[in-house]
Amino acid sequence: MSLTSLSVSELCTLSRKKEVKAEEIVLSFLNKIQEQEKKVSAFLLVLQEQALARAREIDQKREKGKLAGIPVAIKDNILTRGIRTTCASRILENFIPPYSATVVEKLEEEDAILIGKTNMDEFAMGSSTENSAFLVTKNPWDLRRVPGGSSGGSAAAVAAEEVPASLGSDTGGSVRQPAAFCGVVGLKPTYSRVSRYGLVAFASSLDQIGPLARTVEDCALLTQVIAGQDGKDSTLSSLPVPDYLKEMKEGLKPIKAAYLKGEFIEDIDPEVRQIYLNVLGLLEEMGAELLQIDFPSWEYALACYYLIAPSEASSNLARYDGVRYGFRHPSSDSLKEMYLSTRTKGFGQEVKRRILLGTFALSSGYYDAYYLKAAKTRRLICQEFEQALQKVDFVLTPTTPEPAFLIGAKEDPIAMYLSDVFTVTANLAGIPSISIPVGLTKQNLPVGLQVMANYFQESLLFKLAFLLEKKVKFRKN
Amino acid sequence: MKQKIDIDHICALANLKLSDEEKARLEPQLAKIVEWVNKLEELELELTKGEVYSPVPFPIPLREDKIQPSLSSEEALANSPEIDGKFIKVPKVIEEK
Repeated sequence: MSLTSLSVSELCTLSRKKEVKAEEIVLSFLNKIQEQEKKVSAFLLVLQEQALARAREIDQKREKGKLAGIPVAIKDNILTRGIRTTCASRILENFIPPYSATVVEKLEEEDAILIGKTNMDEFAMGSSTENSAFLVTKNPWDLRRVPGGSSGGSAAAVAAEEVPASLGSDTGGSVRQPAAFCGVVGLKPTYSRVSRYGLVAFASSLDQIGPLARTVEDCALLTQVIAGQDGKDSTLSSLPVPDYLKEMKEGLKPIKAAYLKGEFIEDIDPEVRQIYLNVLGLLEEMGAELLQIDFPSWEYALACYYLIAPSEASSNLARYDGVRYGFRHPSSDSLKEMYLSTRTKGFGQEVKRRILLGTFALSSGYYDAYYLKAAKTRRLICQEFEQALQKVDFVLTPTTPEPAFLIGAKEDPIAMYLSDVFTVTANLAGIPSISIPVGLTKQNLPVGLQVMANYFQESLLFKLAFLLEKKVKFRKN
Repeated sequence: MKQKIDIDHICALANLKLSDEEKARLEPQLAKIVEWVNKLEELELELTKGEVYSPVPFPIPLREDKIQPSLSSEEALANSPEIDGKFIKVPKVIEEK
């Protein structure tokens, strides 16, 4: 058995028993990266020397952290001090952050090892990782297909066993959708549970950092480490972080769950629908009470999301003007000319499309009809969730309407946006949501189940996901 | 509602300068997306209660206003494309007459 096929918790156990050194763990994964990267291209940067040096340091330590010697890959929109962070954009191609994100500091405090920065859609705008300015990442299950996005590199790296776990960010499904496409577990925590200090802002009222791993337990472990206050993100909750691992294993009382009604499910890929229905059957066998609940506003969720997210993005991305950091277009005679040519040359197509859409939605004369309307719709979505979650513990949907699609298959922007139809609602409402792999299509492509729960009920999500994981037996080893 | 988008105006607001080719590609795409999001018009939203702009329906705490260590100016300027001492250099701002 190779070290790279083990989960984070299995590696931690071996390491605690002194059966394996951090250096051996890191070397195994570096070798695996070298072998897999030729095919998968999940990484923008691999920190070979640095990771090995850090592993040797950790091996010398007497008191070790919870994640001692565990290699973790970090999405390239999460700042790593002294390590290039590009957001997969030309405009930040040579950006070296002067500080690390809180989540990175928290991982390092527990002796996890940063092994590399992963590819993504530029500024996290996309659902396939094809919008990276540098690389196209391939799905390890079928190299002709996308890994999903925007955290496609982080998901593919975990699926290809290049790392046991990684961090991504989720604004409309960017952790869960690639997790589903790559057959791994991915969590979007409750809005305000995990600090975004050092996460490059895309849409600030929606962005959350979340873990990706091969098991639910590993996701719980990583969430435990990265959650909680830091005094640097003003939106963080002061609620204490529970002991997720302990609570996850406590077992679940009889549960009630809501599932989606006909029309939403009718239009999706038939194999995805069948696997979803099979899991619902399995849950009933496990004693769950399933209720069909109507969410009339969901029909409007994507339109709402594609106004709010681009609006916030157009404002957040105004900072890239070539003045303080990042790319500056060299041949400009005036300041105005410099702004224009820097931004025009530095941003890719999808980023420009969203900046323009957001600028339009916020512009004088259109604000009430577009942005304000979307903000109100968002409240409606929240209210429907609040009402539903008084009656049930969970809301269950497929994570995506179809399995991983072929590279280049979605040239029409709206067709790409539809990939997020099930995931955006959790971001708009701010509730936690997890995707776990629950089956394979005939073409051997993974399918994910999305489980959503009430604010700060991550423990409940882990509990159900943990039970389902054992029943479904997706992971072979 | 069919929405006409004045792409030149929006580009000017967003500090972007598109080539004619890019404009020809993006303008119909944007019009299509705007038409698609117009779906929200079907919703009767007068009844929506609550604070429209808060991302979550619970209060968000503020930390104490205490001075904490921050980046040195050298670190803060390290990524600037062009500096002169502790200043960032940019092309001229004032137009000549």
